[in-house]
Amino acid sequence: MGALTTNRKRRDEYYTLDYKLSSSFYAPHDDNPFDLHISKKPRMSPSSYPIAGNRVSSKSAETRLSRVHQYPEPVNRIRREVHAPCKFSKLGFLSSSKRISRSNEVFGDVIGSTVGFDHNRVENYGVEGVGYLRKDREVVDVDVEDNGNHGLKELRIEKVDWAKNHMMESLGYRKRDKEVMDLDVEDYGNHGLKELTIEKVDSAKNHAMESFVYRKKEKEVVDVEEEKCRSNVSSIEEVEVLGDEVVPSSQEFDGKVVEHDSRPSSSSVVSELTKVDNAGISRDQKLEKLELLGLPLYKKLHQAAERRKPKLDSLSFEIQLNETRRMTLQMLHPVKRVEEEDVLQDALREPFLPLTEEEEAEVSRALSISNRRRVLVAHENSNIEITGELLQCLRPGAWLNDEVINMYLELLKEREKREPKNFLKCHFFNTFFYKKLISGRSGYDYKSVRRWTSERKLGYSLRECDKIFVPIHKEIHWCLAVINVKDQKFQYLDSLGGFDTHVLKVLARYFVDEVKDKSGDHIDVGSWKQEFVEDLPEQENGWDCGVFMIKYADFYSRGLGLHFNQEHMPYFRLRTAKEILRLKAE
Amino acid sequence: MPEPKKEKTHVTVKVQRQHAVDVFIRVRLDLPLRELKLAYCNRLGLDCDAVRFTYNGSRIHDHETVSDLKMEDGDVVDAWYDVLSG
Repeated sequence: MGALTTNRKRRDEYYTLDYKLSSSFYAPHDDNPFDLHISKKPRMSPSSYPIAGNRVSSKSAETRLSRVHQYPEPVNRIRREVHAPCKFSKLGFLSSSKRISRSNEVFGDVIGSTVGFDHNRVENYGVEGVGYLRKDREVVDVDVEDNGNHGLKELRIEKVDWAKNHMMESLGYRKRDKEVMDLDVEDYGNHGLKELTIEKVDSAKNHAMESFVYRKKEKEVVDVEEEKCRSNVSSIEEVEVLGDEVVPSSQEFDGKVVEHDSRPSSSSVVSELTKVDNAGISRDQKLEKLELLGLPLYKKLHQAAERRKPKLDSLSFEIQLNETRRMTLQMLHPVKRVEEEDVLQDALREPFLPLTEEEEAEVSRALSISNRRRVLVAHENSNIEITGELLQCLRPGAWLNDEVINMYLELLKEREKREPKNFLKCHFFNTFFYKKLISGRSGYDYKSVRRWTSERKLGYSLRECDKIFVPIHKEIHWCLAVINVKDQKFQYLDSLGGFDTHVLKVLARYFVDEVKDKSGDHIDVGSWKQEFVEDLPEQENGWDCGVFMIKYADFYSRGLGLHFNQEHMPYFRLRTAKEILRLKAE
Repeated sequence: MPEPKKEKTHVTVKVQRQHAVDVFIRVRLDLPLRELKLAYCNRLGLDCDAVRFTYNGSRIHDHETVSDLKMEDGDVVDAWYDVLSG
């Protein structure tokens, strides 16, 4: 028993979760959970293939792959249920024969051509089709065997068949619907009325799928019917009456649903359905309810989402359209500033020059863990050695090490010496400078850094420089202060948007002292502006401030504006690593 | 023969580090400054690889000597720890 229950559980899983797998695997368990797993499968398959193939072909014909994906699973499930007994019709015919006999009874009534009943029946079939999606072909075969001469039934069943196919395929299927109709007229011309009702079922299903805009469409359908089957005109009122009569029958059918459907949700299905009946909602709404309730939740959601899809598609198309329009307008517009922009673009090309594959490989090799202990490069002039461990700080998301910053600033200075025409005359202090400057007993201590900038050592005096860059270390944050001699101002750049007047005051004092000490002149910086640069690229995370800082220095020393942003940081990290490895900043 | 003038063979430098006591170290003129670094680190129990030494803002190389850098008595050598910031 234990085994049985587990098996059932598994089957449930198949139903609810993995219908694609289940279509091929759970079928044998349906009859007998313990039996002939292998031997049954091949026997099942031949009968299941034609329909599957049929469906596939119709899909491709309609090119509605997405739609097809929504539907197959209820089909599979139902097909299995009916299918299994049908396969062993000689042995285990019971369940299907029951159903057939039931249908035969109804058919008997139908032959009496009580139009209402007829329609009910068809309706039931339709509903079954919607709710269960039984294996239609099988049913047809059985019917033919049993009541071969009842062309009418064949017609019906085929119709139901068609209806189901329609269900599965798409909304835009009306055309084929009508083809079927024509065929039927040819074959069973005298059953126009029934065809009409059947077609109503078809269309009703379509409606159910589409929406609740039923009434209007029904009229259309009826109109079509009128045109097509003039010889058998039974009045439209009759049809509509039929529609009303369906209400009790579908209630009956609810009961059937419960009998057939052993899933736990069945009770709720019934209650909801009866409620719906009471409310007197139109037949098609009920159909849809049935259909929807017969489906798992995710399916319903999927359908709902699918309904919204055309709207989304059209919206996205509009977006595309407007985007292209905007582009064309933009292309027409800025003819004026082209020259300026060209110059700027040229100047901006170099700072963003992509790394070659070779360089990238070199960088990634240098950044690998295996190089941690090795000294990768040693800078002769500054006596700075960069080990793999230090360079690790240029990996994305790492805080920048002051050693790397110092090295890079040295390289910037060398770059300027190498190509003095292309760059402003700058001096780059290292990260120790400002700390040393303010580390005196009373804070500011010029004497401690007086010899840092001797002309003998530097080869130039600070006063000649256009810009003097001073990295500022604030606990856990890198900022940049600039003594802009050229424009006579002190600038402070903080990638987090902060500002510190003390830094600028100290630097102003330092610059005065420095000029006085080196050249004996007294300069007045009282008129110099203290600027906290505001329209600067800012960091959007907690680790790129060092990169921002060195790039502020880089761009300013080029005489460029700060035309970069957070997006460029990964590139700048790679580029900086490359430049340090090659000991040459470009 | 006049007695040769007594030449200076040592200088005393001050090693400063932030938030630490100044340390005076007497160094022979031709001694590679690696010895100074080691002496400082040993005395304070620091990892020598993690401390950088600068003189007048420039890095001191292991093989440089006091005479190479023209250090004088009382000159300051700065010791720095790595700084990481984001």
